[in-house]
Amino acid sequence: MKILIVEDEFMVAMTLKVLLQRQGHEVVGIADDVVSSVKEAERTRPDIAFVDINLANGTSGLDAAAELQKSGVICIFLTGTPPNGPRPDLALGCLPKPFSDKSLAATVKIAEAMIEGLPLPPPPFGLELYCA
Amino acid sequence: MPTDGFSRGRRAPQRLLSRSSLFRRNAVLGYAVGLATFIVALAARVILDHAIPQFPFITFIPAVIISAFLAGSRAGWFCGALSFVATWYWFVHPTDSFATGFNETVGLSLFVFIIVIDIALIAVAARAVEELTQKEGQLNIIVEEQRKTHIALEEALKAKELLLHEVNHRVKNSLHLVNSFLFLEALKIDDSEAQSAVMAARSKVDLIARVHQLLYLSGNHNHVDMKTAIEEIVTDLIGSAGRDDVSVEQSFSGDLMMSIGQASPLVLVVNEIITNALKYGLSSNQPKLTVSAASSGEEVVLVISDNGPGIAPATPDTKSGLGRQIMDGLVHQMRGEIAIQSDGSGTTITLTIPTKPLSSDIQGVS
Repeated sequence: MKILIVEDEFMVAMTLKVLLQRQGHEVVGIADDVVSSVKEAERTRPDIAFVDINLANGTSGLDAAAELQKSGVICIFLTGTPPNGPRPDLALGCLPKPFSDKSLAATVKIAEAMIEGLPLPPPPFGLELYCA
Repeated sequence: MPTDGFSRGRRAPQRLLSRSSLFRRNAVLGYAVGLATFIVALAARVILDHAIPQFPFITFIPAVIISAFLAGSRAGWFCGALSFVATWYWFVHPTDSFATGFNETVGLSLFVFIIVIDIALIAVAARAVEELTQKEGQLNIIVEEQRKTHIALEEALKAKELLLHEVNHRVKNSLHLVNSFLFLEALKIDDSEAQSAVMAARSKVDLIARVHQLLYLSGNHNHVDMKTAIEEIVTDLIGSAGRDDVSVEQSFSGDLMMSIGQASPLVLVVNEIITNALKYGLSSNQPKLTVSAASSGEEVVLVISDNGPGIAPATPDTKSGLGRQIMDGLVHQMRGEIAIQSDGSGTTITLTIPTKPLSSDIQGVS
């Protein structure tokens, strides 16, 4: 899985990157606001993106997800401040912070199944699926 | 009416014109005022009869005005009617009769005209006073409501400040708890390298706790005094490394209060730089660490230098690679710049950090 991380707190992004790499995924980039996420997505063509809601420069992850969605990237919100109510138009779901390594791995599995058109495995603890 | 409310200054004449005055409210009193002023005017007119026979109305005009002013139109009309009849009968030629000639009719008409105008003008003034009084009442209610809202807002703001203050304190305490867990877990590790890695993590948790402590101490929930933060980091790192031999020179200028968003990564970067300096850069005979921070308001320039042998540029080792990556990432997060100069006589690292992070790539996509 090629994964893009959209997160403005660098230490958090770095940790997420290492976690995902250890789970066997390729983290193709880290972006921290709307513009940089669009640029990174164009450059690296990720399959999925983990998107925080409060981004750098006062920008919103909702806007970033809307842009990424247009280029066919499946977005999953990864945030301490989930959006008010489900946003199936923007993302597959929302995994609230803090989350366990296991929940993160299972969330990627769900995205994988989604892309390959397979039946979705049961969602892990904490993950709110918007499409189900 | 509250004394601190809206008011129009001197009020005695206005109060007399107000509908709430006793003479205006009570009909009997009103007529009594009309009658009394008439009697006074009549008496005055009788006394002055020999002196001013050519002015039959002279004392009655002020009487009508005074009664209308004191007790309203009712009293004015009553006094006016009595005056008219009395004047006509007793003072207009021929006296003691209602018979009149042309001149007398004109005089009587003029008298009627004058008192009608006077009573009407006073009625208009009284109504204006009435409206003003009502509006004043409404205004005072609004003023009072606004005052209450203002007080409520101030109290809410105070409560919010207090809460934020308390939250920063709790965050600090929670981080301290995390610190303790890490310490106790680290004690169980036999491998010294692994143990020092956990201890390093512990010191970073401690740094963030310190930032929250500074927030708590500054009495300001979103700004940290970087001067204090840097001084504490330097003292702590030198102390915990047991490096009493290092002489330290610190200088600060300008307003070094920084937003929490910038302060947290900056503290981590400074910690990294000074840790590295203590590890690699301060091994000379007379080790010296120089730290200076200056703020222009727009940006903070932080220069940290040591007089060690300098960093060998080509040492691609994976661990320091990760350290450098983290440092660059944090500097980018602050939208700052880092410049490293190193030669045989020492290493100087210059950090330029905007006080308010605004990146150039904010435009465009909405």
